[in-house]
Amino acid sequence: MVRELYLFFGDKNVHLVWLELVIKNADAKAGISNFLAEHNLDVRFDCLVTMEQSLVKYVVYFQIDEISNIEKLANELSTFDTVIDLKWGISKNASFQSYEFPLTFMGERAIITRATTFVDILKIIHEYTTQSNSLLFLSGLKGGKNAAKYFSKATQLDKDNLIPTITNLFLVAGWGKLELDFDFDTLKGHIKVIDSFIADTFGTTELPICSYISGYFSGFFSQVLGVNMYASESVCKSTGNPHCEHSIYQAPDGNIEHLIRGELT
Amino acid sequence: MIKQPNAIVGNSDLLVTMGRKGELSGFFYPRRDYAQHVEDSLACLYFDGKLSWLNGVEWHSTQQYVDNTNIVITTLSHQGIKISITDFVLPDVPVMVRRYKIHTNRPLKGKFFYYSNFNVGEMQNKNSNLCDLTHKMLIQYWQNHHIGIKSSPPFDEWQVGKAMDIIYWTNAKLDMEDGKLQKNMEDIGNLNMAAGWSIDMDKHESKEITIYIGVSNNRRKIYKFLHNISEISACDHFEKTKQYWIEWLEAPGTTPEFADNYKKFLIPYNRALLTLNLLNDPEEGSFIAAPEFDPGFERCGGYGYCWNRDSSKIVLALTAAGYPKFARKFFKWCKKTQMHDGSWFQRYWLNGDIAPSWCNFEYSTQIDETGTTLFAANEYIMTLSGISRAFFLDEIWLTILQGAEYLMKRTARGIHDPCMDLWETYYGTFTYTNASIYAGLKAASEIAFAQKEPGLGKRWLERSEYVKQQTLENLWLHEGYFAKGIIDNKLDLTVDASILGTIIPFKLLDPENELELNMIKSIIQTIEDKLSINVNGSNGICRYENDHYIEGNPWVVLTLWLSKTLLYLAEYDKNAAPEYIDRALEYIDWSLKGTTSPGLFPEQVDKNTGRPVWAIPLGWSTSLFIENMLLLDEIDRKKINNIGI
Repeated sequence: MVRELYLFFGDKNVHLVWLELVIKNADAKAGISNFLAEHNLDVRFDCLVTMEQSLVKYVVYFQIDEISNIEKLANELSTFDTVIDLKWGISKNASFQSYEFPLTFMGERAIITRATTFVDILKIIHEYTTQSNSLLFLSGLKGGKNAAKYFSKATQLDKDNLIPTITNLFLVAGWGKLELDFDFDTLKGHIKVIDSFIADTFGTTELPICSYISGYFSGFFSQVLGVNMYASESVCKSTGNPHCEHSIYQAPDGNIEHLIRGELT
Repeated sequence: MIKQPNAIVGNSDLLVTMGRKGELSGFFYPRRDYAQHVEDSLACLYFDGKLSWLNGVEWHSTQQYVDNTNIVITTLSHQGIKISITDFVLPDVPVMVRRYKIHTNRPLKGKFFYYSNFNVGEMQNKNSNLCDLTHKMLIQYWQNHHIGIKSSPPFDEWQVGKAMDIIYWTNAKLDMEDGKLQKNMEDIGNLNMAAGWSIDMDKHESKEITIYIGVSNNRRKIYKFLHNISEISACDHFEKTKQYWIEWLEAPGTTPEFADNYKKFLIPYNRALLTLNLLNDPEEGSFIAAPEFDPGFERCGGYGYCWNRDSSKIVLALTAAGYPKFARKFFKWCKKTQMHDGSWFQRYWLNGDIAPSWCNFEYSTQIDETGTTLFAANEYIMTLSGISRAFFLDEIWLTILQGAEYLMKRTARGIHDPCMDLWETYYGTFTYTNASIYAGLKAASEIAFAQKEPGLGKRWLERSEYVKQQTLENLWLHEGYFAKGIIDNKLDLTVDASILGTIIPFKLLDPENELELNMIKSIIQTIEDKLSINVNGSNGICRYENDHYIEGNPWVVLTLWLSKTLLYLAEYDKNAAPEYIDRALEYIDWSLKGTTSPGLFPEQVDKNTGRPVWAIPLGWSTSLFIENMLLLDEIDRKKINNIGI
């Protein structure tokens, strides 16, 4: 995701220029980088995207004070043997810029949202709906199952790589840092969430607030392990603890209300 | 959540609304307005390792009624599988029959599931559900509300579980995803349930599964109904129900004849009658404006209540169509619901309790509802004779007296005191409301004379004339139409199609008076010029200029109101009659194009897509269609008999 969006903190005195080049291969990038360095261009962001038939798209953003020379620079670059196509433009007063729209993440349309925005939605749900924790748990459950399904398509996802996969996923998504202690034989364990984006942003609460994340763990583990797994948050940062912690284990059998509730507590 | 129906079925106690693909969106029992027991109720197929919901985008669907009945057939097709659903409610018991016929052009192995998320008693929580294996029934209940599901053949597997809970693995919806159900026996809370049947069909094979959904305020009755019903074949139930509705349509013995070129209107005319039957509460006599589809008042104030404005028009249409019993019962209900000051409230629950309202004050009441009720009562009286007329006059007299005195109090200046308009949006003094008061007082005066009360009769008649005179003086514009009204002490020049009320039904303007005939023509011309929108190839009529309610679409109500006015005018302006009739027919055709696929009249037609939107079916639109048909038929009969036109 990081490669697909870059934030530029607006400086009204400089111009933000972007170049989008189609080059013959990744090696050709070196020549272009040299050219940009020779012209003392302040490169802020660049990335390579592989295209069909070994072609590569190279996108570069740089800041300059004077824009009058840009067309000349672009014309020079387009004469390179390795450059198949070139587009360029100036992002006036842009504070952030995505070179591609729409954003994608895990193979699907993605958006970027601040934790506050997400947590505001949770707060509204808690304030105006009954069974808000169940609703958020089920939403997380679906999200966790779908994420595991996505990774399973890309690679064999099993007990060998479940923990690093979900740990990295949380880190990349900015949701929190995970420390897992899980026994695959007994299907029981604990997940510590350090700096959970929900607990950090929500503020102080009397009861644990990360039911969405509990649901997400339940969905992810259930999908990978092929049995119904249940996670519940036993300790939450929002209630004054240094971190959040979720217990996770196989969902109990049986359906007698007090029995199930008893096993969950 | 807003779910607009495409079809409805029901009987005297149960009203069911459903979407285009046979998914249930409303299950109202014991009244049409309360309680609504269903969140979701529909089938899905599990095959090729996946669950496919029959209301999914991948299923192509058609939906229509069996002619002249309240029986709906929905057909669905996808990947060589064809499913038809025949839906109806039995005439004499509150049980819905859902007959699924599956035909496959490919080998089909998997499961057929019937899934329901009931909020029994309109309660999302605190429900209980269970599977009674002895009787092979699924039951859900809250307090004295009970719903039961039985099937033929009996289901092979089931799940009753929690629809919304962290104990997600009991959730029947999620449980179906692996193609097998857990067979829990009972649960409590916010619940759902599913029943499953194994299917193993060869190419070109067919299978039939019939679901019976019963509802009652008594658990034993559910058992009795469902047991008795499952003893009889679905075919027999179908025939019995079909016969019931056909006989109901034949009962008046005065179906319009419809000349050859109007024969196409017979089926929609019957559909309209059958629809109104299902909007009526036979016990109370009241009507819902439309089955509720926005219970959370997310985009409007809701429609599942009784307005005197709408219901008065509905009972007059039904009376004209040969069903006077509805009017009799409705006016009895009016007598019961009249306020102490003689007026009627904005809207009511069907049992007569006042409904949620934004018109609780004198300045926000809707005086036209009182005017309309008195007007309609007199129209009904005019259809009576002999002893039944005398009885009804005696029965309704005090109600009329109180209503007329209320109108007198609110019209000391001739035009009425500020109140809310018929669109429930503006405060002020309105042309439409004045016309309804004029008609209400005139009607009350006629009733007073009939009751040998000439003093009151004269007084009310004089006031009605004063209302007319002041309306003409204050609201008629030299541009050739009535202003919408006076809002914030200023004349509001907006063209509002409700000024048609001065012509039809309230007859403030008299077409036999040449001057007023010209005013009528000018009003019609102005409305056509200012409020027409071309949708589906011809023009429909909007409510008023710059209307922003639900995108400012053209309304079936206003379009059929205008066509009715044109037909009415055809009787007075004989030279222009053929042209008026042609124009009316264009509007009628437009309205028919805007119905749902099974033929239900909505309130509006989407100006971008041409599809029916909002309040489906709307009683007011439906009754206007009936009145148009009766007028058309009357004109045609006169033509044949060389009378008049």
